[in-house]
Amino acid sequence: MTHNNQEISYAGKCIRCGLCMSVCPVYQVSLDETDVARGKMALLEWEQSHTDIKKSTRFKQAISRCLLCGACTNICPNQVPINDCIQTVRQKISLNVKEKLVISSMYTFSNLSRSGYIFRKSGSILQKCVGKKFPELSGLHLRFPMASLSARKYIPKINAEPFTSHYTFTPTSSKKILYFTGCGANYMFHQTALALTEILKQNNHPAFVPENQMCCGLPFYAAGDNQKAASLAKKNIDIIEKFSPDIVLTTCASCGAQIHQWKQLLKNDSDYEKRARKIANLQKDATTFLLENNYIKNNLPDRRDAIIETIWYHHPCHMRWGETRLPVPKELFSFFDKVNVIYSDNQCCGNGGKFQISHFDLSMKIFETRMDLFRQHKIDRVLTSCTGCHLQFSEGLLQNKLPVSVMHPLEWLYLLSPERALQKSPGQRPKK
Amino acid sequence: MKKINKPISLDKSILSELKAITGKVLTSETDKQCYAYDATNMQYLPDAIVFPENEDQVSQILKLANDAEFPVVPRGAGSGLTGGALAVKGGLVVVMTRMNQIIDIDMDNLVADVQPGVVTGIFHQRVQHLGLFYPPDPSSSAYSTLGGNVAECAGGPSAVKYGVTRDYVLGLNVVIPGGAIIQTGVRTAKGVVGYDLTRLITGSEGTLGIITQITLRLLPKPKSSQTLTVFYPSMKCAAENVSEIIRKGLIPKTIEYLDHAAIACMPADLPGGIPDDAKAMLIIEIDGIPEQIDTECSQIMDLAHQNKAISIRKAKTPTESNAIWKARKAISPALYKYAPDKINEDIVVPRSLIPDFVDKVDELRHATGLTMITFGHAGDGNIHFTVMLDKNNADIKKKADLVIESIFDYTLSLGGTLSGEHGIGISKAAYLEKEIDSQTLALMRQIKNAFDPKGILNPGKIFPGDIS
Repeated sequence: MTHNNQEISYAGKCIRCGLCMSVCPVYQVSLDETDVARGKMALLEWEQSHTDIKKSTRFKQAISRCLLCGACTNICPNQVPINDCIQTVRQKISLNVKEKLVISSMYTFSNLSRSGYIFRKSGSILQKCVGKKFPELSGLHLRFPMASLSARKYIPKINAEPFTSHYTFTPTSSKKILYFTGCGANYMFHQTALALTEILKQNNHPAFVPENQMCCGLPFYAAGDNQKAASLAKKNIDIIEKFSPDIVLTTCASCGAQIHQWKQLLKNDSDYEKRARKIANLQKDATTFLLENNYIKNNLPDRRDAIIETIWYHHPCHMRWGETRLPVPKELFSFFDKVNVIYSDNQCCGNGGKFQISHFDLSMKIFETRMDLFRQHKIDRVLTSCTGCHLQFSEGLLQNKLPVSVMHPLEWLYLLSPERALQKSPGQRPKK
Repeated sequence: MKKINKPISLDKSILSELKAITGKVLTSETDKQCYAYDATNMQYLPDAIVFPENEDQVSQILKLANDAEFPVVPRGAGSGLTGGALAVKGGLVVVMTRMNQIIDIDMDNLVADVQPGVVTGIFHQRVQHLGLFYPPDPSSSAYSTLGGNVAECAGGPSAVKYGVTRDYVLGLNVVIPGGAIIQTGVRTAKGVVGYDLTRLITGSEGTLGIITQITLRLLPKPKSSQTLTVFYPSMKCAAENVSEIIRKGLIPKTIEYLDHAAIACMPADLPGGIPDDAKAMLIIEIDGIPEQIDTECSQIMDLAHQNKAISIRKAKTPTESNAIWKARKAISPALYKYAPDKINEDIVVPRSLIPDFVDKVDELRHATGLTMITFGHAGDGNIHFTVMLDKNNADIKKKADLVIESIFDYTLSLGGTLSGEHGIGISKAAYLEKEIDSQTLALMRQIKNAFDPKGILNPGKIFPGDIS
């Protein structure tokens, strides 16, 4: 277990300066030191000599109360790899019943979803099992919490067929694009997948979308289940390589980040590690790709002042830190004179995948830290490029009785094109 | 003064009484581990932790503690650098972070009433938004609390022009052992009624009482400011430049200096970059009305040229200024790249004697071969003298202790003081008698005794010999 010990010695690099308190979304809501990175690093150091503590409920709770948003890792003056440390200790602790249920259902789902056929069958069975209140569902955090365990209000429509099952691809001579949809776009937010694939087609540069692609594995990784995360990574690598793409596009920031995590997960398998590294180098955020290649021209309305609205833009954590760090795509809004974009939202939305399931109230409190500012503006629309953030905003805004539509920036762009009226978008408040 | 020598384990009946007061008492190992440290990275396990939510609860806690005679350690963000928030004799840690309301900001009289748990940086933002200014700005301001800042009399880079925390504390509500709530000070610009207990409690490191409310003086926000970064070929040039600036009657808001080892901790993307041959750096900030800033700025730049500066740069935008200050604030923790352990002293010398002090450090560096870094608030002579070392190496540890000893002696011989803004806590208690004579110290002990006859409040701090 040299790997684990190495992480713990990293935890030992923490000098308790406290800087992490200034950025930790969980600490800022709870004001509890067990929630902030330096507290957790103290616990990890202590766990090294008191291994029994792993059985303690309070210890497990403390370790589970982290969004893995990466804000502390980014600011840490001593460069302690805090996310890795927490993920590593999560591998060692046994989960509680509720978490086990969530994780096992996620795994069941990712197995079932290998083909559209099985999903169609199983989808209906699952729906019967869990009753009418079929919960939100995504690869990032597919969840089947019992209705009684949940105060959730937002239930996204789950599409009977995954997006990949009815998509057709015609090869061209351009650089080969593979679109890794992630479970969000594949099962819930078809509009996102449709927007990207259609825009690419308009530019005679269609993407290949492998039908049998799997969950990126992030939910398992975040829960400390490296074995399953690694096995999903391998399967995805095999599937992606078959097409030998030049570019791998993602519309979900979290899937994008997880693709970069694959090489770390597979570091004990030099062949897969090498292949994972290669795929990570091909990964690109879809919005960035379209902007760089000037592919959005067909979707711009005729006049620069045709669209009048105020947009709340949320930059996902997986785009703010780490290998998939990207600047806020301000260029996307530079084509419009009367689109007012609020960029002030610079903290984690509070979703954190499994975190929102096991700590729903806390997750909502973290979400609500932005609501004062949100209410100050008359927001017409929320744009964000991550399935987790998408779900969180949908849930959080509903909890706050604010019927504002949430979508991926590309879906918004796609809806703007002259031949597609904006009214198509559900939940939209039309302006004159 | 009575000393509590043995760690007292809080028994069940005390814990249930505490629970009746605050609703929640943490006693699990997991919780205790997370309230056992502060930014010194030393560790002392408390027996229990509570989070009072109002003054009345604090009063009840201190009454109970006084009756049952268990140690009480007040804690803000736990970001202190001398161990003030550590439960060195166990007992109860009283975390003040949940009393975090800004009660009132009086725009007409420029006075604010706050609870102690308000984070200093959040308070800065609030008053700035109203066109006001609260100058004390310790490096930890993004996470430290106003209560902690008052208890330690925190400083910051702008002391040269604006003073330190004590210069902004007008009055306090304080709960003393036994539970009495005292009110000190005034809400006015002047006030000389009775002894100045406000000043006594400010910087008393949680040994006299627990602060439950603070009345702070505010200033109008300066219209504009300009940040300059200047690099020098030697520490000496930089230090002499500082003296020149002050001699010319220019008082910038801030004059921070960094030696070459501290410069190496600056990020590579520092606006304007870092010249290869830079051995010292000044960060100068001027504030006021724009025309005056322009004049002072060119005067200072001229002086820098005369003092052989390699590069002189005006920050172009507020974003650049922020990036420079962020980098400056990150130095202290970033020094760990040199070695796993840090001895950090915040001595102060009369600022005209900074060049002498720098010479002394050079001499000690050459004599011992230890990694020494100096940076700090050159404008007010407050120097963060740091030795980076591996404490497991007994030989080096011994050398370092000797270095600290001679740095302290030299500082005092220059007419300086052992701590400008970090306080004594447990880190410097052993050296207190170097600066404070026995009669003065005896009087200080009597004062402590008058507030806390049973010695329950933050035992083991400040006074030498109270902790083995």
